[in-house]
Parts: sequence; structure tokens; C-alpha cells
Amino acid sequence: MKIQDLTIETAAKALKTKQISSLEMVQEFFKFINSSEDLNIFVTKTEEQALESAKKTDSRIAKGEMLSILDGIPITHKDIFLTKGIRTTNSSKMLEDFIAPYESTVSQKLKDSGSVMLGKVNMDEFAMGSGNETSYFGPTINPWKGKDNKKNVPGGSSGGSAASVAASFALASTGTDTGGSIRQPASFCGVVGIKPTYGSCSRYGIISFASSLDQAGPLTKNVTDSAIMLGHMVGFDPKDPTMHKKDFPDYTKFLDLGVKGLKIAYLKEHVESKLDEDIKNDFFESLEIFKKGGAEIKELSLPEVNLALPTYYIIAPVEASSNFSRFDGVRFGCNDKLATNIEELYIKNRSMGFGDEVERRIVLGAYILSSENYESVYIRGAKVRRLLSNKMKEIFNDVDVLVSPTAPTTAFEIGQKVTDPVINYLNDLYTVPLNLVGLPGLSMPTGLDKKEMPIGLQIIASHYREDNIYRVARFLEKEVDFKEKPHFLR
Amino acid sequence: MEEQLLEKSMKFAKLELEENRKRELFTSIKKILEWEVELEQLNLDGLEPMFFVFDEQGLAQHKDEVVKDNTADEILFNAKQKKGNFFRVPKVVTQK
Repeated sequence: MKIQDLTIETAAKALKTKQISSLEMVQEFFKFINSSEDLNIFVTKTEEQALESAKKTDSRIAKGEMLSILDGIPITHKDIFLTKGIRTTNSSKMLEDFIAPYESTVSQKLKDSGSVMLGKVNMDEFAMGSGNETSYFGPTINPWKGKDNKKNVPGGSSGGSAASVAASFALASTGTDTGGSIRQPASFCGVVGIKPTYGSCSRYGIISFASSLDQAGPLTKNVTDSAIMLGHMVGFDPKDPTMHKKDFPDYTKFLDLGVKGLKIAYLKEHVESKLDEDIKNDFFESLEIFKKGGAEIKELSLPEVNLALPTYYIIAPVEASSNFSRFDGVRFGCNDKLATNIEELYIKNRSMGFGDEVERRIVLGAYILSSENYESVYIRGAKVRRLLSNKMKEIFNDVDVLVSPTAPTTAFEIGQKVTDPVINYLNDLYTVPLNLVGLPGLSMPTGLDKKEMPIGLQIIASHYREDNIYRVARFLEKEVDFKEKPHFLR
Repeated sequence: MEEQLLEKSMKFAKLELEENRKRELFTSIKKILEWEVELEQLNLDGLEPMFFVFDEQGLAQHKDEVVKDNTADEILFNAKQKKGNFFRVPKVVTQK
């Protein structure tokens, strides 16, 4: 058995039928991780704890008492999830030596399902970035090198999560998505990533970026694994006051329903915008597949969708600048022992701990929140958000699913320094609107471009209609049959 | 005017940068602000600002109970400067 070929589904079967023990499986994973080319994926490896928890799985298997299909499944966590007693850095100097005093609800739920954490993985600092290049620990390298054998970014901010799954360093990973941070790296690394409806996964114990936009979700090798993982991550948590008390379905039961009779739409603005030719062609091929499967395809127009990105860069920095006031270095974080008064202490600690992108967004947020700009910029942005929300609701009154490319390009080379931040922000052109209005979206690989880098397609549904997303995604996955492996595994 | 306000915002944000890094930061922020100007042309009459994805109605409230969660030791663990059960900071009140 090659661990690189395993999925959650096949690994669970192998464990249950005792073809391999959980301990052996975890040992195999670490053997592979430790002997492979360093892609700078892990911030912290938790080998000892993983072996311990694998032994527990084995004793449960022996007694026929597996906790769930995830029992014994090796996973990684984005280093934004608090994991009790384990270093949680948010890939920032600020939290370089921070030991989490409690466990996030999402990682606790996955622990309770029996999954085995192999380690905490790299990300953009404080989840701000789309290439993993803002990490204090240096960028993660995409396991896909492309035809020209270059070092590419894995996307971001959940770049380490996506890369760990693509490199087969784990069978699944957790990510968070504030503007596209699960879907864009999934697209760049050729894996499946879903941001569920806002309020599906508890935000408790996830280091906040922009609270009204942040949402957790899984990154996996395929659509079925995504449905399995998400099912174990969602659920009401009284510790997150922005959640609905509701029951969530078993998403796997929608996987084989097909697309017949579904109304699937795309936005004219999305295919007219600056989009790589290969991605555009690939996108239209997917539409043809849906049509053949019996779906009704509609072209819609929503010119306002292009307002989402500038609106996001009002809302997100404002919420971040407010959330990040907690990083004063007194209770945790960088601390300058030489400061002589409290004001100096705050300034020294924060200036020492935060990187450039974080500082940019905090100052931008503070600027927008100033009395001079509050009404004219912030409130205006919040009104545009309402406008987008209304327009999206209208669309979903008429269609079941909206599709778009996940990102306007495939993964780009590491180190392409761009001085205008707006150019970097355009990576999130297609993903950001969903965060502003709380909609769920999944990215899945559908092909390769001329450089042999993976292309992602985004599938969007109405609030809490992940069932429709999984119907469409699994149908397309079967039809496309994407079997390409990253260069790292060839 | 914009420049002064950026200086002030940096103070609010409790950050201090070397002059050349500060210049770079301000230049990049100005580029973002220029890009946001397109929102000024919109007619947004009659629209309520949206701060949360869902309206507050329907969201669950948890019981107002005392729950023992973290202990003082756990909370103080990550503090660089502490004394007994307290976080330690330099003088809060200073004489001008």
C-alpha cells in the first residue's frame, strides 16, 4: 500500500479491515514527510502526539469501537487553529512561541472523530495574503512545479494546508477563508477546498482576522473526502455567537444525485474580466459537461460583482484593525522588556511582532475608521455589501448553483515582488463576493494550463445549500476524471 | 490632509516604523484608497449598511452561566512579564 495513493475513504477501509494499523500508517506518513524534499509546509510537526493518538485508534479498532470514518486518518491543521498545549503561531513573529491555552472547536471536533494531527502548517501571516509569501517562516513551495520547473506559490492564505494535501503529507487539512483563503490555494495546488456557509463551522479558537467574513473548511484530495471532512467540522457551538442552531445533513448522501434538472448559472462579468485564456476554455468545457448531464445553463449579468473586491478592502481591514488591538504583547506575543511606559510598550511590541502586510491592513483599517472617513468610506462600504447581498439573493431565487473560475490565474512563481498591493488582491476577484454575503463555495481541479499547473473551478450555492454544491462537484469530478499528480510525486 | 490622517491612523494603530518603511506603507495604502474611489459614484439610497451576514434574529443565545474554563496558570503561561498572578507592565501613569 502506497500512502500517496490513499484517500480518506480508502484509508478508512484499510484501517477497518486491518490491512494496516493506524500506528503503521502514521509512521509511513512521517517517513515520507521526513525523507522528502523540504517544501516548508510544516511550522510545527507533532510526531510524538500523532503516534500516541494512532495507538489509541488501534486499540479502538481492536475492540470494534471506531469513533467515525475519520478515526486514524492523518490530517494537518492550518496554524491559525488553537491546539491546546501546542504552539500556534498564525505564521507570525508576534506568536512565534505562543502555546495555545485552549482548543478550537473545529480541531476538537476532528479530534473527537479520531483523526490524527500530524502537525500545524504554514500560512500567510495572520491569514493576510494569497501566496503564502507573507509568512514569518518563509513561503511554502507548491508541490506543482509546472513545465518550466519553477518554484511556485501554493496560494494563500491556507497555502500550507493545500500543499500538505497535494504533496500527500496528509489525507486532509483544515483551512480558513476570509476572502478566498481556502478556495484559491485549493485551486493553485490541484485539491478540493470548500468554504461552507458563514456560521457552519464554529470560529471559537480560530485567531480572528475579519470576524464577519472568517469561516473554516476542509482541503482534501477529492470531493467525497471533502463531504466527509466538512460533516465532521460543522455544528452549532454556543461559544460562537454568530451561529444558527440548526442540524447539518450528511453531505455524502448528495454526492451521486447528478446535475439533471439543476439550473446552473455563470456571470458574464466573470468571463469577460482579466482571465487566463486556458482557464476560460477549461471553464466553458465544464459548462458543456453540465449541459450534457441534463443541467440548464444560464448566462447572467451582475455588474455590481466587480465592486466586491474594493468593498472587501474596506470591511476586512476595519474588522482586522479592531480585532488586532488584542495583540499588545502583555498577555502573549512579542514583549520589549526595556519599554519605560505603557504606550511605548504597546508600540514597541506591535511594531516588532507584525509583518508588512499586517501593518498595512491595520493602518488602512484605522484610517477608514477615523471620524473623517467612518461615514463616507466604512458605512458606504457596508451599504455596498448590502447591495451585493440583495443582488445575490435575487440570483439564487432563480438558479440553484453559480459557477466561476476560482482564480484569474494559475499559481505564480515565488518572489515576484509586486509593489502595488492591488495587483496581489486581484487573486481574490472571484472568491471575495461569497465572503461578503456568507455564501458557500467549493474549488475543485478541472485540468491543467499550458504551464502544466492546475486550474480550479468554483461552485457556489445559496446559504446552507452545500447539498447542491456536492451534487455538482461530484458529477463534474467523475466526468473530468482529473488524475494528474503534482511533479513532487512523480 | 490624507498624509496627516495616515500619520494619525498609525498612532491609533500603535505602530511605529522607520521613515522609509513608513513611506512605502503610505504609498501602498494610497493606491488601495484610489482604487476604492469607484465606490463613491454609486447611488446607495435606501440601503441599510450590512455588518453581519445574518440578521441577529434567529441566532442562538447561550445561557448566562458561570463556566470554569481557563485557570490563572494557563492564562499567564504565555506572558513574558508576570508577577504572582498578575501580568506585569511598565508604569501606566507617568508625569509629564
